[in-house]
Amino acid sequence: MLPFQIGPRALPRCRAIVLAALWLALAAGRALWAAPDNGGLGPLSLRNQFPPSLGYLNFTPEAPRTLPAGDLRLTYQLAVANTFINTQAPSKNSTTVIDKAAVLAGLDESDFPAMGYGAYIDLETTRHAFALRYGLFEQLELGLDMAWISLGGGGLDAGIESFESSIGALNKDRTRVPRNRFDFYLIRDGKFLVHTSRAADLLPQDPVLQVKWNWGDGGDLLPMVTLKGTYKAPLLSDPGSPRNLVSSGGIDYGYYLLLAKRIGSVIGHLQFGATQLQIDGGSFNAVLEHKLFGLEFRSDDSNSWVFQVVTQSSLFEAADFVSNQGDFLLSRPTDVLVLGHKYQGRHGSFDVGFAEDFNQNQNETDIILFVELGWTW
Amino acid sequence: MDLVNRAHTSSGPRTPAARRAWPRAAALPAALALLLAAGLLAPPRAQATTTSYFVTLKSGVMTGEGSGDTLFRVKQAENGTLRESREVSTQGLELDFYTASTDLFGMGLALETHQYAKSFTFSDAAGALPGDRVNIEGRTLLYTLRAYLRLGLLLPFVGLGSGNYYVKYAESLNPVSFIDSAPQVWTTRYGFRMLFGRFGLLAEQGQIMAPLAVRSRADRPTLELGGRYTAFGLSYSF
Repeated sequence: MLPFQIGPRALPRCRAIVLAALWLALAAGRALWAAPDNGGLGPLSLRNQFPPSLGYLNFTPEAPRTLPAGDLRLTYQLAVANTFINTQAPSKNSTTVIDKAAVLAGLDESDFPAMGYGAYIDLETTRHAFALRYGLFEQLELGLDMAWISLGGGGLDAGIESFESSIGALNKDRTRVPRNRFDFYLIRDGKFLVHTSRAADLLPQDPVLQVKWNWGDGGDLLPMVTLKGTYKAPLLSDPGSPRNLVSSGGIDYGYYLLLAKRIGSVIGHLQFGATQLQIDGGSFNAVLEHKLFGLEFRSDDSNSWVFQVVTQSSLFEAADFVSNQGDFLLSRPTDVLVLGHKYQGRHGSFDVGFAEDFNQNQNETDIILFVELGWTW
Repeated sequence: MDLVNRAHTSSGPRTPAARRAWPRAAALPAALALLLAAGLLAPPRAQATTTSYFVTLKSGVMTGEGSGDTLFRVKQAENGTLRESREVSTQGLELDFYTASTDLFGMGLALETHQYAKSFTFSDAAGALPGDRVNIEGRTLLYTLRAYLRLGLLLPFVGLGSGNYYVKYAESLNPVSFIDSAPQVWTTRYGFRMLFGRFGLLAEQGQIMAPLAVRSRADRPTLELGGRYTAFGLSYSF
């Protein structure tokens, strides 16, 4: 008598386990003595820039390869993100409507639903991020991230509308409100979580510490496997306004698995994990799940073109769809397409790219442009 | 299988239905056997070069079962018997990056997209339950890592992967529609490629696990967007 029953429903799971075991068995045989360069230059390292999530820790894609022992790398990244969310737009069939007149008159709680989430977010963020990495041992790397963020009206609205029009995908809600204004209103159950129309410059985010352990470079069949842990420590437990726009004052941590496999001149990257957030008052989800799939096309030893899709669960809690359509749109998982180029010289590195929310969800930035410069000692 | 057995074991003359069904039911195993034989009899080295790219047009069926698919049970209890098969037909496109690691092994990375659309009708013959119609349109982007064996012209493989699965869902009785995506998507694959110069055939089967909570309902039943997946395709390599 078996201690468990294998019924029809368990069969697919059993099959999956058998297949996975078979693949690993095949892989282990070769991986012991073959070690191609599975890691590549890595995916594009761009974190989520959705304004409500800026105060919290988030997943940052990263190369699975660790720095050699004793090496030190400093990178600076400049990322400009444009966000437009209007849960009360005329196209959303909402009970209250936020249009140009309402925005110019100033928004209050009565412009949003009494139950569930509501958001009017029209702003641009400019994030200056410094990342320090140090190879402590041959396969163990330590890291420290610091970033400063400016929030304002920006100047990309006209260009985005023009581009969207040219491909027939214009978000008409954008044209019904003023351009290049800074408005950040987020409400839940009739109470504002954030409400400001005052821009702010160079607000420091909380520092993030990380440790990365390269478990193995893989082989002909086995992928490179790396584990990463991150920890966000607040500079102030109660940051006050306006710093609370980019700092939650809480302790967050994340754990991620980074896989990379070289197939000819193409490297497939798969990264996934979760981030635990310290949420006060239960205003958001306390756990975010992340997944990245990327293809890195190596043009030579120093250059790669990268295509990646980053998916994460929503910061907003799921609510009953029937009671509030806006909640449903906000709580869907988000998808971002990131395209870019990476260069890695002997000491210097240079990345450039952009990110686009291709699903037009109500919980993600519209577009991010970024460049990154790095130097390794 | 039932049709095959009936056609072979019947002692009397075969019925017209059995005669029509026999070639169709036997075609698949016969084709697979021929392909397998051709692959095993082929020269020992695979025709696939060290690094190849395959573009494959695929057509398949997906059962929608697995991962506790409860929506259809709930709907049948509320709106009567499901009139159509739960299976859906899919059309897809796959791009594979393949490299030969050794004479015997190869590795591949597959990026595939496929989609389906189907209306499901629920009705009660006794008329006690109000009928309903559910429209489901699924669209996916899947990526799998595949390990190949190189047996001449035949490249059998197993694979494991993940991806994104999107759905457009609509009900008629209480009009509701939404677009959502499954939070967790996993897929397993096994099958083979058969190469004839630059062209080739693909036959594969596997499980796609993409359960989605239907949030338009208070009881939030699960809709499995994937299920057991069987597909055949025609590929071109370069």
